[in-house]
Amino acid sequence: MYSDILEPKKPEDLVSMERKASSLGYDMLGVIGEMLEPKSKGIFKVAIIKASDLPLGTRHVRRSFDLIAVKPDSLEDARKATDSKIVDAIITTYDKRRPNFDYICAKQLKRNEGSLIIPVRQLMSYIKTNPQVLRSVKIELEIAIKTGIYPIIASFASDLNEIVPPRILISFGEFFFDLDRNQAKMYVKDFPKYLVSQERKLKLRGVV
Amino acid sequence: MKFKIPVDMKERRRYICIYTKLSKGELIGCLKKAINELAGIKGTGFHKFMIISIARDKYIIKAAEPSVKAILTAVLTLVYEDNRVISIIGISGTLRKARELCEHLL
Repeated sequence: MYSDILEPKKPEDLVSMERKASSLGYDMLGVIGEMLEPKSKGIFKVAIIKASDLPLGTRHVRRSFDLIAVKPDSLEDARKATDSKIVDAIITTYDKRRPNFDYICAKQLKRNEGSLIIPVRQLMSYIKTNPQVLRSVKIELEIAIKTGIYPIIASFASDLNEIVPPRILISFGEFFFDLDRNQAKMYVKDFPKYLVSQERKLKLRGVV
Repeated sequence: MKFKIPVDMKERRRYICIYTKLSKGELIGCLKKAINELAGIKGTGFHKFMIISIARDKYIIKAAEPSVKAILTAVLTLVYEDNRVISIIGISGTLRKARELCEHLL
């Protein structure tokens, strides 16, 4: 039903984290890093790369990962990353001065049916010290919604205790970004599924 | 003259069942602090809540429907920021069902 992206510290933690997540109602889990051999059902691999690695250093990554996300440090990085066909998603950047994702980035990402990922754990740690970042993330989200790319709310939990029920992630979206319940639910439920679906691959490449 | 308020005009209540090792006093203190901080960041009004102790380590937070999202986000803050171990068992519209949820825990 629901989907989340996890960032386990050790490969041994993954089994227990997967078990807890499935008990909380998640049936699709994205795992950051190379620690899945053999690949379990309902789990997709996520790679987070830098914009400076594009395009030469990422050819091998496309083959072994289902989702490639870029965390840009600046607007220039975001423009460069979204121009690449390899990139599936952009992670929101927490810059308190200005958002690092604009309409041009969003339109470039839309060609690739991409998405904007909001990592909740990292955002929560930034908010208390720099509340201004919330404004930047909100603007990035509004740009994403207007352009028609798919925003995703994911916990990026690195510990067993950090995995929270999907209802809390939905409430997070409702509270901070003034979304309605169904809209926030789509960010946790439907959009992550679409991002790794065969339907999207067919739309982009013409073959599954 | 006495007026009866129709059911649909009444503010809906929500009962959030939680499991934590914190004592009731600690839970009230840290939750109140987190909600106030969030209200400051977001610029929202004051959110009222009440904590009912059901059994050892099991509590029910009673709140109005519009405050639920703020309370759940405050719980998220406590989990991610302060590394508190708080598990949400479920959310219910009636106290009876919330008690049943707590009874089925673990």
